[in-house]
Amino acid sequence: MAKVTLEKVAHGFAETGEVICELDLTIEPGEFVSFLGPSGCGKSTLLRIIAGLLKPEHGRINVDAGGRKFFRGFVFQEAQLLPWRTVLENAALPLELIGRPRSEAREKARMALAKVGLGDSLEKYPKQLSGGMKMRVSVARALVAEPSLLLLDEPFSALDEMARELLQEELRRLWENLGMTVVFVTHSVAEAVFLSERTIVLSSRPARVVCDCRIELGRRRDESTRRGPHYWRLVSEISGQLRLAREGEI
Amino acid sequence: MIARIVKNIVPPIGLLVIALLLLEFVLRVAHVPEYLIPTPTSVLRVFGDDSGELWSAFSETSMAAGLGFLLSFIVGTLAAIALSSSSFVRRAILPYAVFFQTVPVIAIAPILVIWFGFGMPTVVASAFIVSIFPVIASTLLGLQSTDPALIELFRLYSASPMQLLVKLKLPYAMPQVFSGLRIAAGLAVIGAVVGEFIAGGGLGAVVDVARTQQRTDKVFAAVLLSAALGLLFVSVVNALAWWALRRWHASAQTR
Repeated sequence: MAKVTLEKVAHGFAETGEVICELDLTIEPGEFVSFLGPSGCGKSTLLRIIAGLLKPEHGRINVDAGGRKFFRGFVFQEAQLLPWRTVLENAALPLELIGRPRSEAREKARMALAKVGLGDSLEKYPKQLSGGMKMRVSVARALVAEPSLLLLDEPFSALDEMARELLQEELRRLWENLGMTVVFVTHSVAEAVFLSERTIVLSSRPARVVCDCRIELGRRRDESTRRGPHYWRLVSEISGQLRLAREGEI
Repeated sequence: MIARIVKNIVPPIGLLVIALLLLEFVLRVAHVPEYLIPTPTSVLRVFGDDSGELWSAFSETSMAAGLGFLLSFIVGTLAAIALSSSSFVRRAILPYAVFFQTVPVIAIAPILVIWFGFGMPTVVASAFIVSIFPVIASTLLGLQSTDPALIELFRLYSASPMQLLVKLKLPYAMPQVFSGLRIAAGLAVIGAVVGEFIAGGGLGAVVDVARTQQRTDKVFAAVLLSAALGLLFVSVVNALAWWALRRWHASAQTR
């Protein structure tokens, strides 16, 4: 499980100006953290910095898994599967890229796909799958290298309500069972509250931390969690914070 | 299946037969001289009488055009990969590639004869020169249009440039590669025939010689054969494209 430390991280782009403003943050090993903020506030940029895909202009970022070599998994906004590969070949891709033998890659891909409930669609092509199934393949692909850190960038935003809730519950179960640090970016308050142990609300660009809330809904969560009064209180509380964050800028 | 073939093939063939009969009739009634417009039946007769000569010319041209096309495919793809690898190389070379394309092949064919002599090598070079540009342009476009998120995915697992090319960029570019090859296939035949006008051999030479002998019927026969050859080339590329893309690309779904 990886620990993430950000020290005075700031980043900007030529077209948009400053996107992230001096951010100090620590994510503990095994935590499930959600970044919540209005669209275009820089939360995806932040996620890319944590993923190592983007080098921050200022400040330091450190990801450490107890000194061991580790992998990161990344789930994009859309499933981003390779259309010429079958479900199994898509899920095996990361292991192929890091040079594992083909048979091992396939075996582990099969296991990862079974974890997301796709054990019997191995030979299908992405175009034969529904949006929810594609996203499951994408999650399996992110899990296949047994990452210490899993990063997700609004992965369920394009799905319908039913599929979204189902996938949230599955992701939560995967986290409960697999033991990894998860960073999840979303603009949905309900999603952040249901999924995470800790929700960090970011302001509009440049992103600053508006509030850093613990979500105490217990470790085991399922659909009944969504009906509890405690859940609703947290949702409305954090919605209020998010509203404040946006008003500040208007 | 058979009903669909009939539905697709009967109307154009029917129209062709009617048009040819009509042409034959008009040409005979109006006494149009054979050297101006030959009747369809006399062109048909040429296919019978000179079948040996036409067939060997046809295979010669298809060999030259095929070799030129193959060279275009190999050199063009490699060039596109080189061009896509660095924007510096692209800026340096691309203007010349565009310039190269605008030079009419009929104008440089004599230069090719000086370099390669009369015969096959010049014809192959001519087919190659005419057909390489669409291969470079389409493949380059395909290689540059890879989804940035997929490139990020590959970077996440520290993929090597070779892995990035073979496992992502080339397959991603496949549909565009084939649309370039489709254009190149037709152009290669045109380039070969033009080359043969100057360098001799093949259908181009048949057209040229028959013209000087006022054998217009034979000119027509050779022209029809070169058109058929172009069609054959394009069909082969279409079949390959369908086979390669059938499982995943929308362009291969509606067949």
